[in-house]
Amino acid sequence: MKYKAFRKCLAIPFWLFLILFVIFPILFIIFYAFTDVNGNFTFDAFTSFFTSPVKLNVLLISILIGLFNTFLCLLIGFPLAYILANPKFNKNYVLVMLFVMPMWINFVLRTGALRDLLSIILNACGTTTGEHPLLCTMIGMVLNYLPFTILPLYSTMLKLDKNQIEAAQDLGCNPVKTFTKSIIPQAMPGIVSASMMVFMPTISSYVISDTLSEGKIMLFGNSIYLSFSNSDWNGGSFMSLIMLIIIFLVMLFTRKFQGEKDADRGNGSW
Amino acid sequence: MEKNLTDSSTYIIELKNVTKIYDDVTVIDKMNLNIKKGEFVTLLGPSGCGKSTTLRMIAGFETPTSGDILLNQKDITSMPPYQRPVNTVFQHYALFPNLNVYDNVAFGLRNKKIPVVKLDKEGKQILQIDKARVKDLKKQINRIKKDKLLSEEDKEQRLTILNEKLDKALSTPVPAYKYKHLSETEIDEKVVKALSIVDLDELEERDINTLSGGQQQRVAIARAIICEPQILLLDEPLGALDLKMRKDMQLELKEMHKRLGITFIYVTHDQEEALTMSDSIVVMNDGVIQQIGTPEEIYNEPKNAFVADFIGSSNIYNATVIAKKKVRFLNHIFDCVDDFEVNERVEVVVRPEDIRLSNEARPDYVQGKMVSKVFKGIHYQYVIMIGHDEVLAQSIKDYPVDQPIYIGIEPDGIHLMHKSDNTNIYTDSYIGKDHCVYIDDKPFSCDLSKLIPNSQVDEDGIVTFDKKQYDFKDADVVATIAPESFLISDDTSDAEVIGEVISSVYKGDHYIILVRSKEDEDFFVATPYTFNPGDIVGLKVDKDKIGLRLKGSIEDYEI
Repeated sequence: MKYKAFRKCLAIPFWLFLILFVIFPILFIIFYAFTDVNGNFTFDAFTSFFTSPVKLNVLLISILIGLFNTFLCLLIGFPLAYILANPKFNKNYVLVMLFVMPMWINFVLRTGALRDLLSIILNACGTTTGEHPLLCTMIGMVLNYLPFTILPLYSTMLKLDKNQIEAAQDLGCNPVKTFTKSIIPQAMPGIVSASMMVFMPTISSYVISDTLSEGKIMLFGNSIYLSFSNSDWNGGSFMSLIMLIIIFLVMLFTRKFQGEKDADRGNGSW
Repeated sequence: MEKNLTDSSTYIIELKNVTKIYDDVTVIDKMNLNIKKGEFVTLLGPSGCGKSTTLRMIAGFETPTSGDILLNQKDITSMPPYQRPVNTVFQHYALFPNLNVYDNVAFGLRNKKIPVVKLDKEGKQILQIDKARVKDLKKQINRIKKDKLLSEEDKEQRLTILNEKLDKALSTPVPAYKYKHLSETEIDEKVVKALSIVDLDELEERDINTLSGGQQQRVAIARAIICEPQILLLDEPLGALDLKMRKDMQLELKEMHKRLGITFIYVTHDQEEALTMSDSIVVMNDGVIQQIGTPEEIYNEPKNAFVADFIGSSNIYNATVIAKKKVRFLNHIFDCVDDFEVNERVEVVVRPEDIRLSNEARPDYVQGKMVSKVFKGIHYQYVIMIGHDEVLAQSIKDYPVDQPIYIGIEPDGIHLMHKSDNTNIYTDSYIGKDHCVYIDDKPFSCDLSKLIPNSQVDEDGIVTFDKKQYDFKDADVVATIAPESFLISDDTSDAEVIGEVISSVYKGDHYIILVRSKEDEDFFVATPYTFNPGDIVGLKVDKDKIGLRLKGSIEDYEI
């Protein structure tokens, strides 16, 4: 009996952590989202968000840029991960390290360096970064989130069942069909977790778009940041709540795809 | 000549001079194999003998380094797997886990396209240049050009023929075809039929992961036979099943082969499986075909010691033909049926069931000592020592252990084989605790990684291959040592074996010396120096030079 009680005590730090850093902040967000400056209950933040076309527009653009970024990262990351997972090209994991290493450098520094690099290149072409805000933002986004795509994809690619690929060929699949009918279904858990890793941080990111588009592209993260820096705690909290709900919905949606037994596949590398 | 022509048209698949080299290792060496239409052929051999590679080349997953593969007399060597009318049942089934049973089985049909003659508006056939044929011929030309093992003369000759064919294909239009997918109703009909062939009627909607091993196996077979392949390739398909399931499936596969009437090519290392199912067996070792024959021929008339030892338990001895139809082994002269040259060194195979046992001395019986007895159900298996030779025997009668026993062998139970070369083959060796191979109960340090091709061995004697580890302690192996691998000297102080020189034969530039150890084991040694009969010599072998082959299944030693 004593032993059992002791074991229960071991969970205390975890619960403390959970309450202090997860549950309390969420309660705070909900509290601020539905109160005014004086702490009275109100739907002001709710109505002002859903009636403001500017704010809704920012949300829509953020989701679109998030989807576009996810698509680009998968497009580039998938073949790269496939090549990296082939031991012929990737002896001693050096190449994987090369792709993952940028993640160890603070991304604000990376983004600053990229801005300078892009402006040098674009100036040489006779234009400036300010004139191509979307292009610069997308380059920054892809470069920043590519490692997050490659790693989960890489770890699923390592586990690709060669027999299944050969079975597909044996049953009449040409190389294109083999890819769509055998490799993609096998890599699906990796694709799903890679998409999660890219899509949600992109929506809420603000440093990259802020730095690279010279403030011309506003993402949802930017507008949350702006609200708080303008002391609009209630509006900011409400938008954070929207963000949380989106994350929750995306997680519900992807769990359907991933299935329980695959949960350890793509996420295993994290 | 005419007979030859009719013969070759009955072959569904022909391998001609096929060689496969991986990273400078020759896996298949100039293999020639013809398989008749409708036959059940088994490729049998120990792991790493090249049987799976052969199958993969027929399936199209590997391209031979040199040589041709013909299907119905058509060169398919450079044809990719998805175009070949051949389907495979994989070792670990390789089912698609994202599809259910029905979709797995229908997979091949959904990719299949049926040619339909292309007609113009007036209903006449459209004539076009056959682009697929041109592409195929160009591939073949490319392959021949790249082949490094082909002689220049052959290359030239074959290239001219192919170029002629190419010119012809480019200039003569043929009726054009368009390709059409099967309709879902046609697919459904065939899936239902295939599932009923493998007795899985009720499981169409089931998830693959909820099926038992035997059921998955059946799905894999249904998936392969539904495309109506001309050849069904089976790569150790029963390896993952338990013994009873395996026995049932063996009979079922045999039955299925009869019903479907297509050619089966089956790969296994299990000799019993091969004997049970096959119309003919191809025994392979080290990438070379050792013998092709019916199960009876392979069992009763093995061509060499390897085949004899690999197929069934058998007693193999070095022997000498001392007179017409008389052969000497086990320190006794036996009558035999095979007529070999007098004084030829031969190998003798005696199956355990051909050894007669008796409690009392009889003419032509040899005295030995019964060492062990094992009850095997319908018979006892005995081990009898005669001098230093072990004799494996079977009998339904019960004989006491540790008593003298007399054995006799009927002339037709003795099968003589030409000695392929002077390579020393020791079929009753084993791996000791110290990771040495014990030949004739004497330890020789050896390289255990030779038991599995391309594996590594660490200092504890653990062999690693394909992320699996194997401990071969107490494993029964066959050791081979080439005569020139021995170091022979008068100095016996650090020798691994000490023996007496029995004979010495001059072979032009070296001597072949027969050294007999105190334990009566014979060693053939090649040396440039002369030794005289009666000399006491010491033998040593470099550990890299001892060839090893595992008896039994590799899975038993996995850790």
